[in-house]
Amino acid sequence: MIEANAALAGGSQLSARLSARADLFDTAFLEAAERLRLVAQRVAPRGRFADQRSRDRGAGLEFQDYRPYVAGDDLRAIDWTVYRRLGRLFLRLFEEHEDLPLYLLPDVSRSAWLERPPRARAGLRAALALAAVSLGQHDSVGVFPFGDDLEVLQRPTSGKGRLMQLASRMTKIEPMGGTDLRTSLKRFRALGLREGLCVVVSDFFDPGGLAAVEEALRAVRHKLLLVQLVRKSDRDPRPPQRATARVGQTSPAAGPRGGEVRVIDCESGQAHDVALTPAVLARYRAAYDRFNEGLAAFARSRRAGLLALDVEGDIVAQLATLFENGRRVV
Amino acid sequence: MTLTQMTVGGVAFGLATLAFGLYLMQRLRVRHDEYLVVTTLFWQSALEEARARTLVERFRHPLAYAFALLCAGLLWFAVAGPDSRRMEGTQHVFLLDASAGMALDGRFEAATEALRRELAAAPRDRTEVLWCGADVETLLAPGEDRALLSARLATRAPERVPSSLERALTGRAATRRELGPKSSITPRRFVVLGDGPVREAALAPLRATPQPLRFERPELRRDRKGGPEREALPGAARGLAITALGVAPAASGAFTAVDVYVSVRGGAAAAADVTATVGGATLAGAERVLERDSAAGLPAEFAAHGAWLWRDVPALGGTFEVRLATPSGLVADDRASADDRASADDRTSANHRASVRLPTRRTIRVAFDEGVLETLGPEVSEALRLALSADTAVELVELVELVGLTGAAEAPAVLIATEPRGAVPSLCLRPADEVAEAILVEHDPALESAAVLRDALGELGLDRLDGARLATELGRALTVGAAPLEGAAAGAGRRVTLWAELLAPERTAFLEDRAFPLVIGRAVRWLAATPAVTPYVATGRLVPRRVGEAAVGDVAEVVTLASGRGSLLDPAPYILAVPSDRAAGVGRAAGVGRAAGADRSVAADPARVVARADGEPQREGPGAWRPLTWILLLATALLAVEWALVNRGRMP
Repeated sequence: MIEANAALAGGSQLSARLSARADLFDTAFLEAAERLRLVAQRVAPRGRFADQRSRDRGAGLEFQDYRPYVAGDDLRAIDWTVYRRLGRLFLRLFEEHEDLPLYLLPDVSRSAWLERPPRARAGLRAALALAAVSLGQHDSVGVFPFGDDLEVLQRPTSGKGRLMQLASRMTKIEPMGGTDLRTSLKRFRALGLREGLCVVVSDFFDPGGLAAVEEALRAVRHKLLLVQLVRKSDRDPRPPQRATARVGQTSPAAGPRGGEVRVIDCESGQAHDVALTPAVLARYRAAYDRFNEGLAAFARSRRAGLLALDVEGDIVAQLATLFENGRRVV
Repeated sequence: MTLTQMTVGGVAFGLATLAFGLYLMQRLRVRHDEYLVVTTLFWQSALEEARARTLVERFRHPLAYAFALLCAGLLWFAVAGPDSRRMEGTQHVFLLDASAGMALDGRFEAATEALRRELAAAPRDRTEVLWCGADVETLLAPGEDRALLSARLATRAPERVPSSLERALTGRAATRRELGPKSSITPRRFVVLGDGPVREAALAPLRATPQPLRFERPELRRDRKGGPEREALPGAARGLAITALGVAPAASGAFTAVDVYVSVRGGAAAAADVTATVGGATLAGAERVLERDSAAGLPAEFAAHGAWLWRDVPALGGTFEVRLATPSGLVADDRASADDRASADDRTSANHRASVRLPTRRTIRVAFDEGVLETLGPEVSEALRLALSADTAVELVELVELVGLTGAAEAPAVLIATEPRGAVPSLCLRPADEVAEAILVEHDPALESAAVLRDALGELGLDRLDGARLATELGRALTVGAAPLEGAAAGAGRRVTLWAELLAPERTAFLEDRAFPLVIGRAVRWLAATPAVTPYVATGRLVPRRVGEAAVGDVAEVVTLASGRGSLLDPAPYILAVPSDRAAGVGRAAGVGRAAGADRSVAADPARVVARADGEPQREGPGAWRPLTWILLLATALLAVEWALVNRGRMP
């Protein structure tokens, strides 16, 4: 294993990041996000996006159950009819409805800013679009970008007017080193947030592999929605981006047609010498497919949602298609 | 470099070296283009089964290696220069015609130039060059360096003899028959360089052998301006000449006599009238020894054509003169004198009278010093006595008699002693403790010890000794040394010292060895300074010179019996009268051939191939097939394919 200088393209990454932030949330995207919220309202007639029954029993509208009276209970909840019939005190319990907090965890590690367009751009757009929908449902939205650690960009807050504030803050996100899902989600769990929907927007390329991803996600106590940022070159690696070329420029003519190459991990700096033969490429694709299948299997077992967004496509359009098909439950 | 100069093993070794080098290159690390990627997670998984090549990892690209090896192998063969004319394992025999006709019009120079061209494409270890002059000689033996050829040709010129090409071919056929069936495995290629005629009948013996044969006669590029000028002989026609004069130790074994040979060539050599005199007295009993009588002890120089032989001529130092009279009775006044010390005098163009000074060989008187017999013991003494008595050159005398003769020039004497006796030539048998060398040769101080020792190994018969066995028996190493004889005047003094232990019967078995009488006899001869007999002198031959013997006169380098006034002239002048309107050299070569009894009618175009066994083209023309071109083209095409495959990622 050869350690290479991971900061090889640091200057190029900075310029790319600045360029990506400048066009992160343009007017067209914000209008598209607004339409997405309308679509979401249409397909969710029962109310809120995060419509969910609470485990708390309280003063709701729908009767749920009885329980014996104990000292200290609210006397207004005593069902006097039952008392007259049975001579014993029982409380009427009603289902209590509450809003569903949305926790957005976009991946802003160094790898998210490498290519052009960067995955971070697509990830942040997807997060903002989901936030727009959630804020429109009067749910609270919190944003916690992560890389090798997790930051609190926006604590859970609600209100339609928060969208532009949230967008403004998201444009100021800085790259955060490598991808470390375990550390980041451990920090997220330590925040002690009440149960909500945790949306992880990432490529999930943790150096620890699928096992590290599963371990990190399994520790999350919230409902999970995994938004996987993918691009075609993830499965067909040719041509990779030359280290000496300007970062963000992906030109088929500039890539190798074959032969011996050295691929360098932009985060860890690890390098591998590769002979680009058809057999090697086939094995690469097989490894990538195994990763995706493992991630999908985990999502099924965790009853989590899994969205695959093409970072080179229109993010809002892909989300609109999702919502038109109804709530995504894997 | 051409493949024809390399053995199959050499080519295979080169190919193996290439294969090994390519193998190492395949395993060397390569310089990679570097690419930044989002993750190397999947590359790791892919590489677990197919890692990039490193110096210590397994060999991953056998097909690519085979491809590269094919390209390199083709280039290697192209560099090696394969020759489509090559016959695997063929013995190449080049026959350089040195007959009289080759002296005209630069034919000989053209032939030697063609010979050098042919040699450049022939394997050294299977190439032989024969000089076909008066006699067939090996000019360059198989395995000899080509550089020797130039030096050997520098002193040679065409001889006044008919072509001996047919004789050379016939001799080769006879050699094949003698070698038996095993020799029939190797094919042969005969290349005739010259214009001498070769009859179909002369090739019949070679055709009778089962091995594949090929005969070629490259076309000679003649330069008429470069050749020696023709020069007509003065006087009347003379068809005979003395071409060699030889003296050899008497075949009868008489030490004080020699046999004298005279070789006469020409149109009527067999009928020539040859007379000889020694010191003015006519010798009778000339014996005509014919070609097939080599079993009678005829030297090789004379065996081919036969010679006149005088047996047991007293070796008293007199002048042996031979006169040659033509059939017409004319005896020219030209004279060529030569002696066995390599002096020669050739004042005329043809040789009809030659003389040689016979060596002086007298019986060597040998005596035992006082006390030697007692010191050595009866067994050793008797063995020495027997060995000396059996030698016809030795006469055992008493010590007193020997002392009385010492000092007389005509009485060579040798003393067998156990202690040095001044400058008297002596064979000393001394204890090993007193002499460092087992065999010490002490010589004239004016000579170099190294040269004396080198000659002494053969002259004293030391090369016949089984040194390893003697050293084992004695339990110590045996050394041979040479040193100047102390106290001896320049030009005199010889002594041979042996360890007495060598002769001790309880220590070694040397007395019973066959080499014992030989070593003793030769040591006595060497101590007595017996003059060596130069076997013969002949036209155009270098005359050997012995170390320590001064050459007689200034003409000892080359015997120029046949090169009077600097021009080689044909011994048969009438040949030169043939008009030159025919093909160059045809008539002349035919004329010489007739002088040797050849059939004139078969001497046609000298460039014509008279026989060819395999039917392959004789001369290489501009349109000859050149495999080198095709191999280079194929290698280039393969390299282009490899380049395309590399660019497409099909090859690492």
